[in-house]
Amino acid sequence: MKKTVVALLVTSVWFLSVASLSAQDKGSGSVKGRSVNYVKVDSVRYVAIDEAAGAIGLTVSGREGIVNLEGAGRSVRLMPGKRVAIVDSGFRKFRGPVRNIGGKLYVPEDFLDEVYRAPLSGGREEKAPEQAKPADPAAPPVAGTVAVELPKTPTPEELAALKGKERVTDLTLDAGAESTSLYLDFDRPVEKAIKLKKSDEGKTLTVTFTDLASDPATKVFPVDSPWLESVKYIRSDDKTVIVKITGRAPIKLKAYNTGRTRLRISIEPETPALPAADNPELSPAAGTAETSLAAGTTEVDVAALRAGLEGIRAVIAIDPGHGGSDFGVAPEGRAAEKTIVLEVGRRLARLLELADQKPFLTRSGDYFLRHGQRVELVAGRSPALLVSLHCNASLNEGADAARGMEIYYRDASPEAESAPGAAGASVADEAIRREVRQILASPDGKAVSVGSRALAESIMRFAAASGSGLFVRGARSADVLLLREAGVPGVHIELGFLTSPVDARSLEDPRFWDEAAESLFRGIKDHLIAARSAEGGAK
Amino acid sequence: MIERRRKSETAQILFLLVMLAGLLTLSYYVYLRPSVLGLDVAEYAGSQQSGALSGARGNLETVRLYFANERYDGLVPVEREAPVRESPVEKARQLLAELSAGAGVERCAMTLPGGAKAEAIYLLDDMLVVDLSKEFGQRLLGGLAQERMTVFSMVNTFCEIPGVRRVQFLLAGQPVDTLCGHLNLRAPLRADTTLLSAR
Repeated sequence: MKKTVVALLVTSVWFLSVASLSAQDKGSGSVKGRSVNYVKVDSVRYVAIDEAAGAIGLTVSGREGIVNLEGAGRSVRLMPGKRVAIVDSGFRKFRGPVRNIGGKLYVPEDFLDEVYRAPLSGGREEKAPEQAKPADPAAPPVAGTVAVELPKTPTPEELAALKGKERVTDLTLDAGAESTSLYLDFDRPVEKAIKLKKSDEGKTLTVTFTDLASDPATKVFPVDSPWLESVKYIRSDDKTVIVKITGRAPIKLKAYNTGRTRLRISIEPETPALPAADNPELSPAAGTAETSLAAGTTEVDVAALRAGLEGIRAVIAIDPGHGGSDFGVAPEGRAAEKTIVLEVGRRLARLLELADQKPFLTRSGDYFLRHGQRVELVAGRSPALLVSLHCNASLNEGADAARGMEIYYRDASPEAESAPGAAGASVADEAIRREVRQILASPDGKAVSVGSRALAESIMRFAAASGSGLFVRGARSADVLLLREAGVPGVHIELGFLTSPVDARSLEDPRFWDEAAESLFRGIKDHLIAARSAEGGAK
Repeated sequence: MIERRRKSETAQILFLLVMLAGLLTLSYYVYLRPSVLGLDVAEYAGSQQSGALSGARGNLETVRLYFANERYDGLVPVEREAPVRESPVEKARQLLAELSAGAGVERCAMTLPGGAKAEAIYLLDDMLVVDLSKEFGQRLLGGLAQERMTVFSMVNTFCEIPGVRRVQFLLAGQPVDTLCGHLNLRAPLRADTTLLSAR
């Protein structure tokens, strides 16, 4: 009998805890005046899709695992289990995946934010919020105390109710060459003041949050940066969080939020990275100048390098691909792509500088750059040319059939953009076709396309004729994202296949780095001279 | 007397077991039942299944797959027999598995890492959305030649499915800029016939 009573008690406790747990994670709110229920999963509030859709006048249907929501001039396609949806013709990301809960499909709360700009709020009718203020990149560095503004200002009553109960739920570090950002995700909208302390001649910054709980405990983020040493997140006690940032040089801090429940702490070096022209690594007096130049010479014939370039001083972006945690192609037992392209890039920059041009490297050391940072670094200097350096690979590892240098350019001609394989080109993608027409209508867009092709052909000619053993597969067009977004004439060069034993031996040889740099230099020089002649002819 | 007490205890235990079974059934229906808004559950689950080659073999049809030539600068069509699949999504899964298995033909190179799979595949009008697994991206070596061959061997192959004209890739459920850092994958791609090559 006793066993029966114990079993009964255990069952009751289990049932009650399940019931209380589910009750705790549920609640109700309102969308456009209509009451809806939500459930909370992993700190994200979810609304049943039929309720959310009904509240904003959409009809729901589905096939092949897709859920379609139509109406009010909008078309939304959801994929159960995914964090993305297709809204009209573009992709939107949400904080959580679309979930199947209790036999119903639920969408995360920010579905409403993202798609309809109608957020859910506890128990009262909601107006569409104002857009989040974009972060001002030119804002002065923060000193002292910084108030973090929210796009949607909670009422005083809401703030009073929330005070002291905010919690950090997640942390993310986004490390870059020019700035690094630490993101703190909160469980609710937060308006907080932070205390900032600078010490050690500006190399150490300590940011303190009070009245803030945290799920993550102390965490040290690995940082691979020439100017930043470490970022530490410390949960000091139940109500205090400290972020300690240590630089290798003086650093500055900006703090601003990029969402209602997210705070971004952005860190930058006090002094921006030196442009190549001022970079000691590339200055004539320093480094490997004498040993890195072509044909085994210890002295450089500067006059020969400059011959024909009189009056031309072109800014040229050299982009050694990958870097830091991104090794690029790195077959076992071989040098990594990131190292090879940096070596060739440095040598090319050196030759261009000696030829009185103005080269700059997007990456001058072994650190990671996000795609957006590369684009900004290039576009920010408005170079005449962009040369992006890479190494190739094939899944036919160990075979020499796939080998040699390839030069890619982006052809934005109407034929290429509407050709098979072109990204986005289809009858249905009228918006993209419009964009292409606009680009082509501008003289700049056309010049970029023509200039890129001419540069590729020039480099190919000189590489093939260099007599250095460089095997050149050819120049071809491809929709390379960096070339598309940089907006300047440019080429993407694959120096060789690290998966081919023959190529790999060359790619690891410093003599090849010299030869490759010299071939590229001659191709660029030829292009600059030809472009000047064409310009003169046109005038 | 003792026997009656035992009977009573057995009855209570049986009652408890029935209660537990009831609670578990209730929990299943409340929390776990995989139905979506009245969608056909089999249809929803069908798009999540993996292994196109694992299905029962029925009628066969000829499918055309595109592998890389040995120089890795062009695509070679290779035809083989495969079980008929009516659903374009299931057909795409089958073709992905076939591509991943390799060409099996001389002077043709594989374009996908072995065992490559998609987390999910959807068909939106004429656009096939292929959600590649995170491992897929991690197992590629990099390089633009490989990226082009990998991407367009899939695109050209999928565009052989009736009704599919464009292919949009996702990686681990997220929109992706590129697969290895180079080739633009932000927009849907169409089959590239200019890449066709002899072996």
